[in-house]
Amino acid sequence: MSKSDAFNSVSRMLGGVSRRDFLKFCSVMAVGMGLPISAGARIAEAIVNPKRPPVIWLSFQECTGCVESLLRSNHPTLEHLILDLISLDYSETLSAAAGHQAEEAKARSIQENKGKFVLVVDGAIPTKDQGIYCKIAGRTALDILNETAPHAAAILAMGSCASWGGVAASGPNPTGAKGVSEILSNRTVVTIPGCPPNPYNLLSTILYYVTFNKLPELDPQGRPKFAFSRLIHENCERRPHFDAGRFAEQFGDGLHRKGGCLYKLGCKGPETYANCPTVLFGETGAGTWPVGVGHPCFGCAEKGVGFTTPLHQLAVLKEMTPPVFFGEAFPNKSGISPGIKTFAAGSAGLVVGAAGAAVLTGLGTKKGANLDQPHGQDEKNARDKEE
Amino acid sequence: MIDTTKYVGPKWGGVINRFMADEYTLSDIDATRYVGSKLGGVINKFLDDTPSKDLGIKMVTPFTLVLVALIGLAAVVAVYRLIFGIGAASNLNDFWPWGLWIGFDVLGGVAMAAGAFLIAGSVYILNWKKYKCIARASILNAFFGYLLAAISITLDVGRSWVIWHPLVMWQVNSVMFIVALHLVLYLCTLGTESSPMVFEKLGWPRALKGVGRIMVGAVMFGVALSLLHQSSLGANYLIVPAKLSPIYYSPLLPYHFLVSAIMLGLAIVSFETLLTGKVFNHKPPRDVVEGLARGVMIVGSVYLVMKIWHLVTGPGVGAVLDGSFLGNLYLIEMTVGVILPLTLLSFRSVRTSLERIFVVDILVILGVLMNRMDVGVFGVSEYATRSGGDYFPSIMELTLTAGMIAFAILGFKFCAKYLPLFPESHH
Repeated sequence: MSKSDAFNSVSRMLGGVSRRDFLKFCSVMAVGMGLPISAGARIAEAIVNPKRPPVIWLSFQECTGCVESLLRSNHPTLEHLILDLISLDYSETLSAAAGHQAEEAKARSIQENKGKFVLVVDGAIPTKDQGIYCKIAGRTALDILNETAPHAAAILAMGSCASWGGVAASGPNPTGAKGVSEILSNRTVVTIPGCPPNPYNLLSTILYYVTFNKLPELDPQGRPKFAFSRLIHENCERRPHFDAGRFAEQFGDGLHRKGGCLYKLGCKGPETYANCPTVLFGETGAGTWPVGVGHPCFGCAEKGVGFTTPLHQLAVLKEMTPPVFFGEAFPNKSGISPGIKTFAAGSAGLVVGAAGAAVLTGLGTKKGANLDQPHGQDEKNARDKEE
Repeated sequence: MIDTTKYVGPKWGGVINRFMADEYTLSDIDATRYVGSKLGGVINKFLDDTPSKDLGIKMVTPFTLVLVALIGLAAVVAVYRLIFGIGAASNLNDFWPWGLWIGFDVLGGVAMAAGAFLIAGSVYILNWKKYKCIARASILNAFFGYLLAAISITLDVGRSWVIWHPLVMWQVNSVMFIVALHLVLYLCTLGTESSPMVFEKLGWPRALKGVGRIMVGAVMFGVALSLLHQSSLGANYLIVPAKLSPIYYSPLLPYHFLVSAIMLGLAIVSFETLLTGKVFNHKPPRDVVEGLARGVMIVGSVYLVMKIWHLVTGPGVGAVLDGSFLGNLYLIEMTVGVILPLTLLSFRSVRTSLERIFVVDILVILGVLMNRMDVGVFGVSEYATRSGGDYFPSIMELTLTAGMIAFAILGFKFCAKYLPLFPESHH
């Protein structure tokens, strides 16, 4: 199949997207994962492959925010790419079918693609009282997951709830909600935490899997390293204000409006690993992410931070300790600080004193003192010695 | 004198008493008894002070004991700094990353070592034989200056134990790399240039001949390194145009450093020649000192023109006359180090009096050291104050610096006693 044929085979599905835009998307995906630009071509090949694995999307104890965030991506053809290119065979939210019809479609897809499909889960799974707190088509979430997971080629937990329980598992956790990896402890589960997570992190992971037939590099919590290896604090656009000690102290105060650091308002950026500041949300331009629009990060993507620590609590600084007293960036104190002034004045005093003493004692001596022998005698001596 | 037999028994007490009374010198110890005949013989030969008897250098004096105490304290501080870190030992902070150790020990120490390359260059390259009698002393002086700078840098960088990294991990775009490389290479060069007197003392003619053969090459290498190194210390400050006061900052700062270091180098060699003449039984060669004074006058005039040119083309003369703190520091530095010495030297009566040249030398040394402190530490004070910073050296920083100076003085004294430092006085 020639390149243009390959593209033509999907162009109808793309709903009028140009070949150029399609390749651009693939390249952006590759770059977003930190892959070489040549990987874009391989991603493009994988997408146009008619045998690409389908995606089955299970939603449990969730708010549909994860699915919504996926739909709200405003890249011109993104929804086509998600719906058509990754071949989403079953999703409770997005299926046109309903009831028994939808369940049949799912059963058929699982049957046909045994061991090949990608399973995406969003929402936590209640485990208390045999999991009766979340049921779909009369069956508990726990049963559905345990029955579907063994047939999946790869399992992705989308969102904080599916990753470790999220808001559903925060104290007192009345339903005993747990994340996917806690239930499927014997399987590798890719977790993409966030509330909601960035849709690109999911899409990138799926496309990586489809292209290279393996999962991207994961950290111990199952998070893809391309997205979760850096603290938000490291890439935050407000970071210079942190370093310089310019902090918003209250919502709406002068430094808050000027874009100062939100650390003192309880921003959890210093302890949360995510790529929010670099990937942003909603594709509406620079600054469109929580900290960018002036709200402290609340650590939604970090277990033990989001939904657990109070919003106003100061973040634990993982890699650097701030000074006890923050020096202001430009207090614009005029003059010279007292310590250095004393030091300089002391040094200058020493110099002037020593110089004065030397001048007074040295110039006061009469010519002909002990060192001043008549001119010439030494000179002669010195010359003689050398020759 | 304290009778130490009371405290440590008659045997050792007797030895210490005799040593304190200066009846007993290191040369009386027969090292062959302790370390074998071969090494012991070398040590015995090295510690034989009969050739320098006429200099009349006493090792056990109250002054020497104070120096030893200072060195001991400084060693304690150095160990404390290595164990507990620079933050615990010094008052340095983010606004004052470079303080006393850099401003005085490194910038000052290196500038004070400038005499060596000038004298070595004059003697070995230009063949100005008149200065040969002070070559060894000035090279040794520079060796100590650089050694102290090297120790201070090692203690001043955050991670002292990886100080050797620049030598193998080259960052050729960095001035700091140049500084580090020059320091090491020049220290080796100074060691080579100083080695003849050790070989002479030990009576190793073949080694002496070997060094003599490479001497001119080593001196040329040393001159090149020094020119680069003196100026690259100034070049360090080229990256801080916003921090350093405009009174000091200039694109020509490296040349200011170089020329002032030459002026200081000549003054310090002259100072040291006269000082050794005062404290040791050694006559300072008059024509050498007068020649050095002429040199100070010529180079000082060039420096004065450069500084005035900088003021006129840069911040304006008014910037130093407005009564501001930094302006006053500048005036003190220039008055003590340049204007007063040049004025004095313009009188023939001063130029021909060793006693008065000695005064001029002291003025130049004080002035240029003040300049290094001004550029290295005080010159950024307005910027740092604006940012909320302050600095006064901690007691440990002061102790270490004092110990370093003591080490240099004692080291020089020790070498004067045990090495043929003033060859003309022995023949």
